[in-house]
Amino acid sequence: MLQKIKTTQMKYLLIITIAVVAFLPACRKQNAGPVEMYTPGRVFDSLDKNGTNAQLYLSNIYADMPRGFNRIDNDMLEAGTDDATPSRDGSNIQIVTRGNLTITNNPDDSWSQNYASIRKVNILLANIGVVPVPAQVPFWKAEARFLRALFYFELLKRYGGVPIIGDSVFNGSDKITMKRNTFDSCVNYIVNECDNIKGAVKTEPLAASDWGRVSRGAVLALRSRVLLYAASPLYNGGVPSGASPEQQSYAGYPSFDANRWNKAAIAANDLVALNVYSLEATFNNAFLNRQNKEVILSYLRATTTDLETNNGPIGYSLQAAGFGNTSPTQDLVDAFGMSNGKAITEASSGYNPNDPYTGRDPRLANTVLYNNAAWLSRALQTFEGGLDKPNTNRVQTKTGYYMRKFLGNFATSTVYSAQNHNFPLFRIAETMLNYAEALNEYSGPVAQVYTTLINIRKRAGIAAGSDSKYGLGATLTKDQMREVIRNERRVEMAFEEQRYWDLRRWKTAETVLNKSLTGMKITKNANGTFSYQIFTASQVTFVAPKMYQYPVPYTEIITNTNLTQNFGW
Amino acid sequence: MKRYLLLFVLYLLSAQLYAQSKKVITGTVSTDSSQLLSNVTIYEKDVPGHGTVTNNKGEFTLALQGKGVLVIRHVGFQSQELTIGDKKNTVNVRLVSDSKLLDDIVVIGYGTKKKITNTGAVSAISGAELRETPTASMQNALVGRLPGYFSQQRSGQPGSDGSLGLIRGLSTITNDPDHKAASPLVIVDDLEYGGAISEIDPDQIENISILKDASTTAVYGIKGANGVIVITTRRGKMGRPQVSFRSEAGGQAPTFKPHFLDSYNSALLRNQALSNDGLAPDWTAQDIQLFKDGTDPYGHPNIDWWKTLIRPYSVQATNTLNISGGTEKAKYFVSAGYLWQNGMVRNFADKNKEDLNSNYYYKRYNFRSNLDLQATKTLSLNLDLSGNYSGRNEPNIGGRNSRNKVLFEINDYVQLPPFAYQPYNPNGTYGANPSKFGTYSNNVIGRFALGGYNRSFDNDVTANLRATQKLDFITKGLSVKAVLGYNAHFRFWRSLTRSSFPAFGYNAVTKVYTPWDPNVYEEQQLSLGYYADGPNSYKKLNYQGSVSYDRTFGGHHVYALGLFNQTSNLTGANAPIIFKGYVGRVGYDYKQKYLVELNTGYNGSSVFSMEKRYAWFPAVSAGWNLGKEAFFAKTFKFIDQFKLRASLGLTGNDQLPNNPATNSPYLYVYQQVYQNSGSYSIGNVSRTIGGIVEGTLGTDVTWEKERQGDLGLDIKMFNNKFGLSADYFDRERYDILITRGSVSTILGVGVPPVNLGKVQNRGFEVEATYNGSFKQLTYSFRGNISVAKNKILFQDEAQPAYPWLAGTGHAVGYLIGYSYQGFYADSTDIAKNAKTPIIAKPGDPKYADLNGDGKIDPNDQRIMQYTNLPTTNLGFTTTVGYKGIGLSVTFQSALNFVMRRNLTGNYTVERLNAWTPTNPNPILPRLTTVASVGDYDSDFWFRRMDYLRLKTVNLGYQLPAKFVNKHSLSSVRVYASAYNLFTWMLVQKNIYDFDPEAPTSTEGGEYPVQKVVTFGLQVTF
Repeated sequence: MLQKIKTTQMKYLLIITIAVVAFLPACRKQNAGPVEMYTPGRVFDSLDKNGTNAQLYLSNIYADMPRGFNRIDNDMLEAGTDDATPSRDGSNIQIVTRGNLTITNNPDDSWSQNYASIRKVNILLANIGVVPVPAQVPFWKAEARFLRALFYFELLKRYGGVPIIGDSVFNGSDKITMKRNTFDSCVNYIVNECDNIKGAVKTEPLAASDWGRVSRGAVLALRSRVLLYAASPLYNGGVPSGASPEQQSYAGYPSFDANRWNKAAIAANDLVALNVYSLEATFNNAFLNRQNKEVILSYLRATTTDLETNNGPIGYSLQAAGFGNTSPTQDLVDAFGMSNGKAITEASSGYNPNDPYTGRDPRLANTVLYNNAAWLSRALQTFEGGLDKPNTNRVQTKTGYYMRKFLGNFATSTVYSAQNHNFPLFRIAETMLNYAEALNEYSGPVAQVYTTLINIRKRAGIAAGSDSKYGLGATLTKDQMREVIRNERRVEMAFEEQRYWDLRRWKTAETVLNKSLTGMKITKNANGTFSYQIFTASQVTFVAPKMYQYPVPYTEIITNTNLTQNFGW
Repeated sequence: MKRYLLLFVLYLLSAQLYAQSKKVITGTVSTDSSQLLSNVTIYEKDVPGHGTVTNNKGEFTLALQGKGVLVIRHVGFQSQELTIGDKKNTVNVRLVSDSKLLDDIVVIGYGTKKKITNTGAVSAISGAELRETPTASMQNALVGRLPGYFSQQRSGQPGSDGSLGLIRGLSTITNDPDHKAASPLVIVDDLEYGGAISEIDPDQIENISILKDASTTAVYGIKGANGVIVITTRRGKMGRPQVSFRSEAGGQAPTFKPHFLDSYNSALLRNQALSNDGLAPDWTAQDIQLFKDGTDPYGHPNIDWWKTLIRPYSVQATNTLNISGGTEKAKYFVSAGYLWQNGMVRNFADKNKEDLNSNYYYKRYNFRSNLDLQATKTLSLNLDLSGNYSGRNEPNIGGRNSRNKVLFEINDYVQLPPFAYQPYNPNGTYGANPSKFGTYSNNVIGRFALGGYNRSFDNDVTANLRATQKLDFITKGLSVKAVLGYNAHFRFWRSLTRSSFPAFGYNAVTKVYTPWDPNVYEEQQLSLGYYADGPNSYKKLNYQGSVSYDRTFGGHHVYALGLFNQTSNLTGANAPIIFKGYVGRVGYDYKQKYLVELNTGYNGSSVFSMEKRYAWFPAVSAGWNLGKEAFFAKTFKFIDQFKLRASLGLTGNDQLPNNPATNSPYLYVYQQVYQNSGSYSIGNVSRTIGGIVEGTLGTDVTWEKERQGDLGLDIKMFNNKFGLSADYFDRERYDILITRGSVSTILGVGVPPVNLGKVQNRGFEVEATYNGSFKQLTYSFRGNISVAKNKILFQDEAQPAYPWLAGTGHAVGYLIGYSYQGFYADSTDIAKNAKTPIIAKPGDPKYADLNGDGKIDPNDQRIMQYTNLPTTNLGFTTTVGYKGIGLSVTFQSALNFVMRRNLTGNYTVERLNAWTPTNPNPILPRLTTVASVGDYDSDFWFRRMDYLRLKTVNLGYQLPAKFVNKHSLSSVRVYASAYNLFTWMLVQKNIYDFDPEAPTSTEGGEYPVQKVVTFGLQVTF
């Protein structure tokens, strides 16, 4: 057929075809860009009557708050202290506990992450003005500023003084060459921010729908914690002697000033005396209830079973099996006293090494799962060869214990159900202990110190005793009281990411974290009874003084040559 | 079968069958070296159905029916046409070898060129040479044969064994091991090809050219800087239908395989390692004795898992059928092919059950139909339709963290040591180790037999329509051409999987079977998964329209090309990426002596913002055929050709490197965007509020650019027997998209990528050929060397603490590690050397304290001398032909590169020679079970992998014509061919027992590269 078309016709046909091919596509619109993404003007928008997008933006900043559960390579931060040891060999937290921390390898490095969060806050502060929701915008601004202060504190406790960038939002082409601010000015910055916003955030009681937002209590709680840290031995005149004056100024205050303890005590009391927050009647409720009287701010999440699966015992059926990642140590178990309030080492405590879990501080059962404890409708078997400690290659407890704290009450269930697992960032018990500690340091073991401790112990379920002292010696010296407070802090706030930093600010890490950690080897006897034997479960190393502060990340040091590295790194 | 084919042939030709005169022609056919050729096809041009073949003396007789124009055709030779005059009755024909044809013409972008007047840097390989290599992925046959082509074959997995190819090495900073942003553009018959080259059937290929310099790639503009691979498919030739059938089958086996130790030795080494770490031994003397004497096979098994799981060889087979022929008006080439490549795992499927094929495999069906129609005297049409359908299979064996890799499994000490368990119990059930329940994954054989498979199916269809109209009526030499190409590729997946089945631990003493998992009573129900793979499904639509002009006026030859080109590329459901451009080419030569050519591309891509979308890429090249000058020809009589050429130009690259933060391509980098990310839960009853976060800062990025210069020399001498071609190139890639390394993270957001990087790449290629003959013996040698060395000139690197840590100035992909200084002999040796972050023990590698601060820390690392990419490639091919026997051998070698693999899995033979106090000069440091100083990257572990390979061997025998003719065939060839047959390590011992081209610094588990030996038969009639 083709041959039948005349040649000339064919030529024209072809020329037309080529012309069409060449010019038709040119009319077509080429895609212009990311139409499905938010442009900056859309996030902070003067037409956004409900502030919907601005709220979404703020929500993302909230999501940057520290979340403590199995945070470091699926281990709790406590696996880096003497309270627990990781069940898995070679997990990243061991970089810290084995003294392998380097300028390039730090599993808890959060430098860039916190500066990213700070930038988000600064973008919000610079742009939120256009959002037409006058009833909420001032609160959102204040909340964002609190979060920024919190991010600075996260930096401060890790690295010492860090550069404070104020409200700047940098451009990609800006050359960032700022020096570090001193420890002192960082503390002042955070405290000032707290002072400035404590009246601007929402005051208690928060509306039910606002639960989880920053409140006045949270601001005061952060302020109390920062001032407590600033007064603590590591920073308050405890700077390393070999360091240059510049390094010393980043590491803390060159000389001790007792008044810092006073400031810390007052700051803690500011919150306690508000009387808005109080201890829950039941210890566990503070962690399992979304809304409660005790928690000032926690990282709220939708309900999950991830804590149970990550840390629960391993011996249950497939649906209820845990990975058992966290192995609490015998050292932690021994830190819990008896239900009469006495330490197990005290002669009159009634502690029986052959029946070690009977008659103990009720918080022990809420913090640690030990052999024979009721769990998922059977007794836990962490004796050698038991279901939960089969001694195979499978990851399992290294110490004979599993973590119990924060887990739902599953003694009589058969499977895990989704629970509220809200990491408590601030709760009143901490502020009370801050108060007791600061006051004892400043004024010695005065009556308010006793009262505070008694309140904590009373709620814990410790017997009042004939002298109503809840096991506390009536005539403790300041030094003895310090040890009591530190131990109380350890058992009350186990696994709340406190001890890791407490050991550092108390400057006791060099002794406490340079030893072998123990576990309990339990043998089931033929008659069904158990024999207990303490054994060395792992070894921890702390290189003092350099490990008291993390090294500034190597990439930061080389990209900003005005940064000075911490002493020892 | 043959009968049907003949019928088909008759059907095709019936229209042309008619008889005319009766003149009888006799004659002979020989090669240009006077060797008589049998089986040569001779037919009449106007009566293509009427013809004959020469006998074994090269003679033929044909009674003419048509106008007296004979066509003489033979495989491997150029076809010839011969007009018989009225008086002549005898003709003697000399055929010219096909390879000479290739020698004379080169395929370049949007056209072909005479080699003598070519001014660019091009190397080429013919389809026939390609088919000598029995590999499933045809690009594997290019290395060693094409100067300037660098490649590394990372895997031998069926369907994924295609090597990664680079032209003239690396010129850009890429952060993925596959160098995606540096991969060359692939053009098949004028159109950009989106699929993998490995899916093309080599039987369909006429030739492959690689375009290496700016003068040849500038026409591709922003896609040309990485070089271009131009593939031309075979087309029909005039003549009676020629049917060619090729069948090839053989076996594959790993080039290198690890030599794992038995239980006894593994247990000894494990105890040795534990004792080195100061830990208690895992095995008692009694255990070790039981491993040794094998008297407790269930409690103390000793299994060679390699032998148990892996076949000694796996089958590979290909079958192709080609039919080609045609008349002046219509020519056709039709091809169909089938490839089957089986995997290395033994078949454990239970024939009585589902019979799941869970082995690795690859099968591919290819077809192509290339039709050429001469519609009118001046209009020709090409209608090409091609496609392939392929299936890849992988076992669903799960394993540790669902890695799903058989090699990882076999190497996994944690889950599959030689003493793991007996594969089967005495009662036939799957075995487990009763004393180690919970330690190992479920029975590995059970997982192969019952675990099911993951299978992907690829469908690729290409339609390519071209029309060329000669416009001689306007002016002589003018023509226009239109091309419309459509390529569609779809992938979908099917999986049939299960995760649990019963296995039992058998106690040989109590004769009790204990279930491995007490909750599993029967094989779990299989579950079916099925989905379409969006990112691997795409459509490409390409239009081209061009005008070309080519005319010679006396000694002046002028030619020009103008072309419009648009490709729209849709991946999955994404917005199309549109490439649009114009091409211009103007050339001139005077008596083929003085050559000059200008090439340019003006094009753009919608990947970039409207403001930075289009650019010019010009190139100029010139040549001087000195050999054609009278004075030269007189002085050097033995030189037949002597050409100097040079080119200079600018090209671009729009394949951007991956974003190092997300390891995926940069998306919309040119605009600042916010995106959904994170959520926070608020309220006494959870109310989840989503999050928005700043995505990128947004920078107006653009394509990479490269300045390329090339100087070349082509020489032919001694009657064209000896040829030499040499090229020197100097390239500088700039505006490479990089992430600035000097920006502090205090910035608080991902640093936007910027066009700042700069890489220099210099090197040379030399190729020498010699073709000779002695009586009936013909032979040829061809050797080539390709060198490409790159250097990062700028990458915005932060000033490191010490100069030896700076990567700038080193090659792309530089490796960082410590400097190995021998092993620590004892504790005093440790004490007197720099302190290591992990406490060193005797037998650990000792490292240099570069900054002399008395401690080994990251500041003591330095840039290693070599990268994983070879800088030098050598190839050497020799062919020998004697009567019907032909042998072709290719050696290939890659130099100056390193590799590191982990030696942490099951104990191999090498580890017997690890450091102990009594073995102070071992090949490996002390064995250990915990983190040690020996884990660090260092030049101890980065081993030189320089190798020499017997890459291809092809030995064929053309059956004598006497025999062949008796069966009315025109040619029968039997052959054996091999790929990667032997490998020799040139510099360092291969302690990893793994192929030197395997990827570096991975956790291991890659499917090993295979050597292939096949036997084939090719029949033509």
